[in-house]
Amino acid sequence: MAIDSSRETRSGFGTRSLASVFVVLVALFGGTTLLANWYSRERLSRASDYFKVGQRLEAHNKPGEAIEAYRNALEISPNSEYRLALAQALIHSGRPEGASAYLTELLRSDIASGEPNLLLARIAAKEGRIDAAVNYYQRAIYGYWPGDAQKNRLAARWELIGLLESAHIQKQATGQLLELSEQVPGDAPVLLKVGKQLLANGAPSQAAEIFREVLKIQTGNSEAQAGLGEAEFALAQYVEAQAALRKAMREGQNNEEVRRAYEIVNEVLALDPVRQELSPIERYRRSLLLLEHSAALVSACHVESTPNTLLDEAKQAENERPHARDLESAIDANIHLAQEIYALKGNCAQSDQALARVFASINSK
Amino acid sequence: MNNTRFHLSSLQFPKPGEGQRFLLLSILIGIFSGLLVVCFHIAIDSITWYGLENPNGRSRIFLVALPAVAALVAVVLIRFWFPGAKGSGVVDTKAAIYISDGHVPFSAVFGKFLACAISIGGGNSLGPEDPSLHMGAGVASQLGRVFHLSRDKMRLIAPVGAAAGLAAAFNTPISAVLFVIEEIVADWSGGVLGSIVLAAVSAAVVVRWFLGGHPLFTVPDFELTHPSELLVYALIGVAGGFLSVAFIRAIEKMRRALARLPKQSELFLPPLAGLIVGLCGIWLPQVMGAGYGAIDSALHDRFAWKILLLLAGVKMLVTLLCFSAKTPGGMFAPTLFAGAMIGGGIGGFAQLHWPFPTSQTGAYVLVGMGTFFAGVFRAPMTSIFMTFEVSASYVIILPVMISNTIAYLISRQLQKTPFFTMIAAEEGQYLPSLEEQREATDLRVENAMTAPPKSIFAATTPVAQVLAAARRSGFAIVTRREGEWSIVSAKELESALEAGLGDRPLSQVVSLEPLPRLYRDLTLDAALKLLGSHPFLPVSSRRRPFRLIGTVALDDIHRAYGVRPPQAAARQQEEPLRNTTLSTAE
Repeated sequence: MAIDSSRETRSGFGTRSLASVFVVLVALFGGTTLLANWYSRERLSRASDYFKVGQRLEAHNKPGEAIEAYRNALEISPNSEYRLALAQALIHSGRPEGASAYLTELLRSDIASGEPNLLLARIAAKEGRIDAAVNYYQRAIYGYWPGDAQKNRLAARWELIGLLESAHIQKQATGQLLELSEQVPGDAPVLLKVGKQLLANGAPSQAAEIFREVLKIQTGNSEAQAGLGEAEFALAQYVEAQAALRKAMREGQNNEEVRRAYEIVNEVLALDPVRQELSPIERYRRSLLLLEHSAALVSACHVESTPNTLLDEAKQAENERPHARDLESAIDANIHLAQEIYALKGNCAQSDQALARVFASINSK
Repeated sequence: MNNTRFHLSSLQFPKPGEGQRFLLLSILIGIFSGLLVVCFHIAIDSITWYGLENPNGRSRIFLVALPAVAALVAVVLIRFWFPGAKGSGVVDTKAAIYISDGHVPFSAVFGKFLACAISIGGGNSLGPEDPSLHMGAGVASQLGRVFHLSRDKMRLIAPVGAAAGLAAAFNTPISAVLFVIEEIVADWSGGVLGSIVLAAVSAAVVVRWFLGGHPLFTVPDFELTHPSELLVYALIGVAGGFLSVAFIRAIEKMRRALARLPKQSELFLPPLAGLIVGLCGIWLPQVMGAGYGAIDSALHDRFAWKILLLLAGVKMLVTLLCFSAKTPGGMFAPTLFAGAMIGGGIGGFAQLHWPFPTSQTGAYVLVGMGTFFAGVFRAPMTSIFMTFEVSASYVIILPVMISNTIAYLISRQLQKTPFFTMIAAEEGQYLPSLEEQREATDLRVENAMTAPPKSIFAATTPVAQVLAAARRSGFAIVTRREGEWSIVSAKELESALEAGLGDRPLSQVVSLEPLPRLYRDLTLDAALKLLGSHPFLPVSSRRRPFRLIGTVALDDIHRAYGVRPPQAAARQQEEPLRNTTLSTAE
């Protein structure tokens, strides 16, 4: 067993020794290569078998067993497809915390992969981590998708918009809606949806733009027409709103909302005393009408503290017949009085939208 | 014209020295070991696939019987064909260094390969790392013999191969290097370290070439969520430490008890252990084989904390049975498994009850993995770096250091004999414990030095004046310039006096050779080498090297080691003799 010390004298890399070691090395390398190739094929095939079993079990609504099969597939061959399938199965079986680890690993190899980002965004949103969710959604939107990328990106953006709206982050939601509209320039149904959402989010001018774009693509789109009417109405552009709503109703948009908006628009247009195109007499008549409506509203609200003097003044104003040259000052006085009376309404549940809009219009002018 | 013609044969290539050849051989060892471990890995996986796993399921009887049958085949192979492959790979590699001059029989490589592939692939609860380490050492030893290495180099070759084997098995070259340094050679010298690193790296490259670069585990990202979490990690360290001690003691007792059984039982105990593994595998298949798949699942939050602790307990039990029954295979993977599950179990419990935010269970699994390893093998550096290497996460290093160090300290405190020393002793080999070697306190110059003589003479002092002082001790210290001391003997001075040179200065009469200088922190071993033929040496301060703070003589060193100085011993021997003579005369 002990090495002879005489070896020290003949120690060295002899040519024969080197050649024999080299031959053995080449043989071992060749053998290992063959074995490793077989192993690799076998591994892929077994992993694929497990994966198929997992898919079958998932289709038969056996998520627990499917997860096991996916785990086995992943253990044999660490592959992105299996990892994603496992993560999805875990999410479906209500174990998102287990899924997020696998999804994060997927992102480690490809941070721009769309689907893992989307799934992680959903998990983060569910856990109330809004900032993280928004980040993941953004990555999903601009990420890589193997299939129909446009469709998936759109869907991801819609989810993000939904999240932002539910979290009351309206400004970002509006931004996302506008970006989305740029993503689908000729797609009328999507643009229509974007317009409606913008309107709901309190962005009527952007909504009006979008509805106009839809109407350019589909001239007779009554929904877009109605949307445009509502947007103009929200922007206090009542003449344009009236025209658009009328057109929408004529084209079949006869739902309650449109009709109601149309009625209010008509009422506002009939009441507004400060429109430039009206004659002084008409403006005076409308100022009296405004006074009458305000007094009626306050009476309906049963405001106990209403000073009688104001109502008396209103009655007096209604009965007055001013001279033509005093008409402007009478109009102003009536409007002022009507505003004072309207202000007495306070938090009264009774409301008159038209009246409120007229006063808003007067104040803005 | 002919004179200027270029001849290839005229080129003079520098011949590589033995050190350089050894480094080249280390690369070759790494490649061979890597290739062998790739084949070993494939063999284990193939046996597991065709034996235990099937996408469409296996019958329970088959699952229960397979580990037992595999253990029987493996033990028969070792008993009748490859007796050299019996025993622990780490112990055999250490034995190769300290007992057999680096010789590991090549039959052990074949034996380990076949027996362990069958045993581990068949589902017995043991791991492939220790056999890989042994195979690497065997390959290295064989190559050393082929290239006729000197005895000194042969002694170093086994650990080089061991590092290559371990690096290939774990796919973690840093940990492999550290383990071999920490547990097998205990030598950080450049030559050995360079060879070990080269072999480990080449082996890891070969494995990655054939099996892909993915690490042993896919570790999820995590972060330290709250500083108080470190207490949970410390708790994992405490649990890992105590449980590792209990585990080692159980192995010690079980192996002692089984050793008392008749020799024929060696053939039946491994199948019996395999049968129990198979039975446990019906309910907890994760405990079968090395268990890396289960660790990976635990890292991904697959199990609840109760299941994790159950898995840890059952794995420790079945590993205890397999290892005590001497079923071929190693202990590395099972200790990682048990530690991972203990860590995960404690972490999972903390997630529910800890008052502050905690990390995902995977983080605790990862930290626990190294903890039990550190406790059982007492290789804290290896365990820390292994966790770091498999996780590739810097954040993990702090919790890992805390828990592993605690586990190591507890294990060291409660278990006197390290694991491999215990196993070696059971196998009848008394190998040095490297932990003890590392921690042995060296005696230093400060332990032996005595106060400097009161008078130190300048070189200009007359001979007669120095002689008076030199007569008392036989020598005198002379200084020619600051910080340079020499010795003159009384004999030399007397000769000079007799020659009528008594009034001359010393420097003119005797040659004053400066003495080598010692420092108080030098080991006595180093001092002895310098002492040579000088009767004593001066000790000076490192801060003020011109100041003499003491002297050290051979007798002082003897005294420091507790050895009676030869002259005193001789005097004592003469003493009773003289007393006897006196009493006889009386």
